[in-house]
Amino acid sequence: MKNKIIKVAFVLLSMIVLNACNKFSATESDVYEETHKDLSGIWKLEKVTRNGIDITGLMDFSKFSLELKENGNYVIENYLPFVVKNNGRWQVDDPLYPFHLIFEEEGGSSEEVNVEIEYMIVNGKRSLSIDLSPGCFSNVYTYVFNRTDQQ
Amino acid sequence: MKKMIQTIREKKAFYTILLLLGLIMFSCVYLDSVKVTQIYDGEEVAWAKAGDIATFTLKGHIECHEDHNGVKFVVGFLAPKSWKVSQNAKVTYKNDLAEDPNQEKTMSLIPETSLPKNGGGRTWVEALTQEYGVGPNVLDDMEWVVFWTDDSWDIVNNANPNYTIYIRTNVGEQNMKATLGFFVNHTDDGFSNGGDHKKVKFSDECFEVVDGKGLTIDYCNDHYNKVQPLASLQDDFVTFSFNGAVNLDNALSKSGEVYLKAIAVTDAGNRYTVNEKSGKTQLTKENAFSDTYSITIWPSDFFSVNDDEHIVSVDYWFTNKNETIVISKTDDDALLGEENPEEMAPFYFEFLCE
Repeated sequence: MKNKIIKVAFVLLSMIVLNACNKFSATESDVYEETHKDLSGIWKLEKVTRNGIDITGLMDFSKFSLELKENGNYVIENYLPFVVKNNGRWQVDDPLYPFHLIFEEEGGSSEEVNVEIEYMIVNGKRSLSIDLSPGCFSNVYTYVFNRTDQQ
Repeated sequence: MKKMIQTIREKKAFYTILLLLGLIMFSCVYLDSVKVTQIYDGEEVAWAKAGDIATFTLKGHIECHEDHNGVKFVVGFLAPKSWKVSQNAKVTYKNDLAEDPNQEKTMSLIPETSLPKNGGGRTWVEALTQEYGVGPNVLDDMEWVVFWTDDSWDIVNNANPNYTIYIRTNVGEQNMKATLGFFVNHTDDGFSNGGDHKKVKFSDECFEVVDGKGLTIDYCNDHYNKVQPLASLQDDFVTFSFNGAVNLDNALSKSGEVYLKAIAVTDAGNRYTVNEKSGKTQLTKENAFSDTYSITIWPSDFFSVNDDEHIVSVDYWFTNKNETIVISKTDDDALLGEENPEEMAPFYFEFLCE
């Protein structure tokens, strides 16, 4: 009798354990979704390199700012050589995986300017990096921006 | 007596092993000579006329003490960026391993995706630039361009082939003088740490380009002035430097305050002068132990040039605060033993981008 009770208890316990295992087979990867990357905000220059050499300390780059507004407009303050000169509208190529920023200067006649970006997290902060050659084509500058209005 | 014989035998064995190890380990690439001279009117000269194709010749040999199979030979060339070597150069070579040792075979640019085996993840160009920089040159606007043989070669133990490499390239339109750099290696070594398989040489002579455009850009000698990048336009960030170290007795360095006085000339023929003594024009000392002062400007903004005009050139001087001390091109020429009859002739920078 005692043996029977033990056997029944063992079978029941096994069923509970096996059943419990099944419950964890839910497809968690189906639940996960990539979040939209919100690039809107005020971006200021953190670092500037010229042909791979850091020139951040050689000039005052701190006043230049690029505000990407939520309504799709952008505003440049204290202009420095950049991929666009006038204010206008902006968008990203893909809100989930943004690899390009697209600027359209106001005035209507100008063409879209499509620039490759690196949108990454550095020291816990979102950072935006753009390569550009506003002067001679052989000089490549990298502007690294930090968002100042959000953490 | 027995002990003595034993000791001699041990020593012999030791030296034999050492010799064998040496033969196995030492497989060396040698760069015996580089020749930058050209022939003009039957004379050998270390210059070329602007726009001409110059030939640079490297001669060397390999002492091979181990088998190498499927090896590509590598050659690097350091030249001013304005020569656009990667686009213009034709590189060929001869070697004793070929069926016809006098046949010139071709070399091609190494694709960026083909990294040197022991380069630590760097490309060939990155490895050379980090290791050798611009050699003895004083200006940075130079680049290493790296080629490899289109054919792969098997070199057997004890083969000692000679090689000759020819780099033929257009020397551009800009007047200049520069020290050229040459590097040899092979893919089996792939930029390893040791120096046995890779060699670098810089030309003994300062190679010059003459009869071209603009003032001569001197990569070879230090001057009071330096501008970077050399190829710039008005929407670049341009750094003007005063190098007091070329003459430690100069009064401007001793004053400790250096300002830039400059005149921009535009394509509309207008002249924009900046001659204020303020933070806008003051050069900053690079560090406490340096005699180099520099200022980086965005020329369009610095000279407040009209939107529809383009800066063609800038005349400039370095001064102290009350302009009692002025360093000009006349001082620089005097330093190099050249006479400049014009008093206070300005330094000159031309905005070019080619």
